[in-house]
Amino acid sequence: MDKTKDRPLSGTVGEVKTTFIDTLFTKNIVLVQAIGISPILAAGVTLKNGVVLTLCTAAVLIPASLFMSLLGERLPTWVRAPIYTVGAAAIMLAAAAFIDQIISHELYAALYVFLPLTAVNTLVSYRAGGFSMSQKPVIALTDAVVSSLGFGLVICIVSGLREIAAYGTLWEKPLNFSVVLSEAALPYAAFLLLGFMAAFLHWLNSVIDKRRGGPEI
Amino acid sequence: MSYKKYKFARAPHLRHSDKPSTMCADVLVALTPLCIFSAVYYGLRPVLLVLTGLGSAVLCETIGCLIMRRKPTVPDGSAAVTGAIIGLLVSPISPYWVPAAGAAFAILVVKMPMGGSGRNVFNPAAAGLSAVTLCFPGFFFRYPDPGTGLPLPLSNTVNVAVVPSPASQLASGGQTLYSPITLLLGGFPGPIGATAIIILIACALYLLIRRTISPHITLPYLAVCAALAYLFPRVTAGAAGSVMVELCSGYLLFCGIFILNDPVTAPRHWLGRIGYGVLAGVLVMLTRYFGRFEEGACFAVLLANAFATTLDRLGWYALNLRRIRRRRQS
Amino acid sequence: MLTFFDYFLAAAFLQNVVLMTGFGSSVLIKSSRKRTNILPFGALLCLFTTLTVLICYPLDILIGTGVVAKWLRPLMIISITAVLYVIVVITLNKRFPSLYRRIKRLIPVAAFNNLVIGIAIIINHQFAVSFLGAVGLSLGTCAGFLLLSWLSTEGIERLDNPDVPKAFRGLPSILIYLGILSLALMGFSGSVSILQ
Repeated sequence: MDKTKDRPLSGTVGEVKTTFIDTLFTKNIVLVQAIGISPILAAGVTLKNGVVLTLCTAAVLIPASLFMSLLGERLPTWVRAPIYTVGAAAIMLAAAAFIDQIISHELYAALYVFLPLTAVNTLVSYRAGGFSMSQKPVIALTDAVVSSLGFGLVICIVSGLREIAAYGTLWEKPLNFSVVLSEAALPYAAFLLLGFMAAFLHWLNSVIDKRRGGPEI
Repeated sequence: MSYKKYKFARAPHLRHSDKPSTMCADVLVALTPLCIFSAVYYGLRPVLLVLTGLGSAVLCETIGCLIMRRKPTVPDGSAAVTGAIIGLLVSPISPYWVPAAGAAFAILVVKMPMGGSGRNVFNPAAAGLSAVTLCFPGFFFRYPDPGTGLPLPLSNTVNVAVVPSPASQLASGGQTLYSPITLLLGGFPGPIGATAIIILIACALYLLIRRTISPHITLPYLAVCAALAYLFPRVTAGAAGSVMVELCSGYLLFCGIFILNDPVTAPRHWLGRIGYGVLAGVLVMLTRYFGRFEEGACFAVLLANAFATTLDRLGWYALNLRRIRRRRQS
Repeated sequence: MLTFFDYFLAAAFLQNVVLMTGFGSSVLIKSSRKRTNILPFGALLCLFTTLTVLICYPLDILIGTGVVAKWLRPLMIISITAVLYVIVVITLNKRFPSLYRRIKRLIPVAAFNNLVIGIAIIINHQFAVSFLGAVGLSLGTCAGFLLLSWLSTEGIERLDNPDVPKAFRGLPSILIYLGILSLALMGFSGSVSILQ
């Protein structure tokens, strides 16, 4: 798991706010901590996929984080990972059935491989299994919600851009665009896009730091 | 004794009397006759395409250096070489924005974010070319007939009859249409700067004498390509004929002379360079046999670039193994 | 007819699974930061991938392709991996305690990640593979992951120079590096089309 020791936070409002801003922007879960990149590359091709994956990630991460925060330290180290992973897989089973039966068969077929992968997403193992374990439930809950939001922000931007570039549609509604780069649906475009987004965030962070007058930790 | 003390200076690592701009000037001098040769067959259009690529690369490098607020690196000539190479490897009938887009990608995505001049991990020209080949395959691998003697129109889009090139013939197999003499003299369809085989060989000799390119890279590369073409021929012209067609088609030879010898992305150690040439040869032929396009040398070069430091390391350790063992025992 | 070696070579080199489908990219970036981690992590990954595929292949045939079976399949795969993880942890702890102490942080990440589960899901879902082909695919994926780990470590070292612009230092330049490698592999995906 994470090598850095996350000191337990005491759950004050200020710390909740810091966690919120940290995980969303300063140390955005995807663009700075390199967690959760895999689904974006292959499945983040249309905006619908992006939104569905975000909701599934949230559905898995929030219970897992709360569980680990409340009970994690009482379990022996080696048994934690299988418990929250299998639990997450069970949640995804319900989510997959829901999507298949109630939302759309095509969406389920397109995302068949990626829905169960949100259960083993590095987001779950590093945030629920790593960070939330030694934190108060309110901090763990905030972190889970904001990690999902941070992930969701990135995947929706990337999938939206890729959908526009590759298929000329947005949310499956066609746009009046004549330039269609069909190869934007390939993973390399996602890697490059993520790289530039990460650089942009890095630059934004340094500008904000300078405005505040000196670097803050 | 360790390998680590040989790192962290900016490439190319030259003798004190040479400057990076001398090397790039040499390469540009060598690229000029290729451009002129194409102009003889197709008129002014190829020259304008090459100049578009060159101009776009220089412009992007200037903008990049301005954004990053550092000394402009355009005078060292590497951007000009990148742009010229991209311009020379597109088809004579491609629109003007294709080499411009390729050069912009090469400089702004591949060269600048990785450290700029002297630090790029991948050859920018190969990466730019790969990107535009992948994104706009319709504009590549469609070449006009050089035998018509008519200059190509200078408009952005051109409607001219397209004839099969030797590379596409190899991809489809069967009998070859081009005799060895035609291939050597360059009167066959192909990218702007890659068809004049005799001129390419002369440029290679010039650059070898000036020690701008290294025989340790080019010769093993060509040997491996020839060996693979001999062992697995794709046309029915006999093994020797197949070797001739494979080496003269597409931009295999151009790649081995100009792109692989980029001093920034190639290994430094001579043994590493030989390994690099061999690896590049194998990869280029693999892209030809199994790849998506009829000519995939630019993709193969990128993969070989990723292995450059590993090959350097292997070459150094191979030669110093005895010394290291002796030190460990004492 | 594609054989073991076709699948192995395709998954490892020509259509490297990590770069083509993105499985395992986060884990790749995390494990490539330290050179000494590559081999133990790669070996563990290989162990879990191959064993999961070996066990799930006959089970897949048993449960069939009904609608409910399709929903249950991923849960089955993840549960099998969980059981394997517990077995591996207990065995290592009892038989090789010093080794276990050194690599115990890597084991959960190596067992539960996109690569292991993703490969097990893809086999028999996206294309019908023979048993040997499945083994070839999983071994090839791990070989490809190891190769890519090595290339990433080398790349990270090379990109750790003072000339990289401040905004691109660290993760952004690594992502661009992997992006260009992925672009290079696109030139290979032609006639031997195993993954999409």
